[in-house]
Amino acid sequence: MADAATWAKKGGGIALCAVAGGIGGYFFGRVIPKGTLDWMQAADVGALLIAAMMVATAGVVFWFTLDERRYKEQVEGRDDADPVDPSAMRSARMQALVLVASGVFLAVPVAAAGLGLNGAGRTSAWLVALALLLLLVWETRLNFRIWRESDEMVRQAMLVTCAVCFFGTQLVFISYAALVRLELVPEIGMWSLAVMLMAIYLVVSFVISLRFGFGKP
Amino acid sequence: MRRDWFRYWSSGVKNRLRELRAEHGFSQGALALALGVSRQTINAVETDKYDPSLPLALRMSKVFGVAVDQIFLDDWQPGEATNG
Repeated sequence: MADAATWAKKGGGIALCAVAGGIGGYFFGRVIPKGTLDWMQAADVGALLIAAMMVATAGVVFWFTLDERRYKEQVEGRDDADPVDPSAMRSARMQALVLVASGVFLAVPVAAAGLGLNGAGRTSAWLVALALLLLLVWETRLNFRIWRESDEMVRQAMLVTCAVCFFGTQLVFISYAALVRLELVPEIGMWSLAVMLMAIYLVVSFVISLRFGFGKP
Repeated sequence: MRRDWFRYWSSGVKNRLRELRAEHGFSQGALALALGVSRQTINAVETDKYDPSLPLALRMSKVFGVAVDQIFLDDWQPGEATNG
């Protein structure tokens, strides 16, 4: 269990990043011409934020795997002489790749729409869809490989994450659908649902990973 | 009182894995290698974050040469409630 000083240090880091993000966002808003991003929906902003988070997290995880000592300290939370299992570092790299693929999968439809490549029946839209399908196949293969090469606890963590996500999203989506049918709330599109699903998955996956002792809190 | 919501998927069974590992001179990594699991799994079992599967518990029993109920300690008695 992390002590108060560790949590305070982490909280300080998060606050610092939040301030830096706020300043960065302010200047980004000043630089881009007004109305440039008016085509974006709220879900698009969410998708890009989640995609950026995923790619950044993957970068950090990959950086941890470049040095055995750093990996031990940051991922396994220890500084003893016991060497790191090479398969654990390989698995971490594969998980980083999955994160990048998921981030790209979320960002590409938004980028394609922004570039005007979308539209029913358009060849450009079909080409983007084909590229996404190929990315999905590759990501699924990677996920399957992670599953196959993992031990029972990682598999258990994956199963628990899936179960919590399934029951959680089922509860939220069915409740919302009932409210839509009662005409109490507006319909939301598949894209918004997909982005919400990914956000829920990320939170659940993070909490469960900590619970199983992956990474140090 | 601190409420641990995760207890609903944890049995609460304690274990002597760390003690037995030290007695036999295994590091976490060496024991993980002997059992065919990751070092993090050994650490999670030792810190009561994860209950191993029956096959893994049996393998531990063979590696240490003791019965499973000498590694995993459970004070449950027949007739007691099994949940919560």
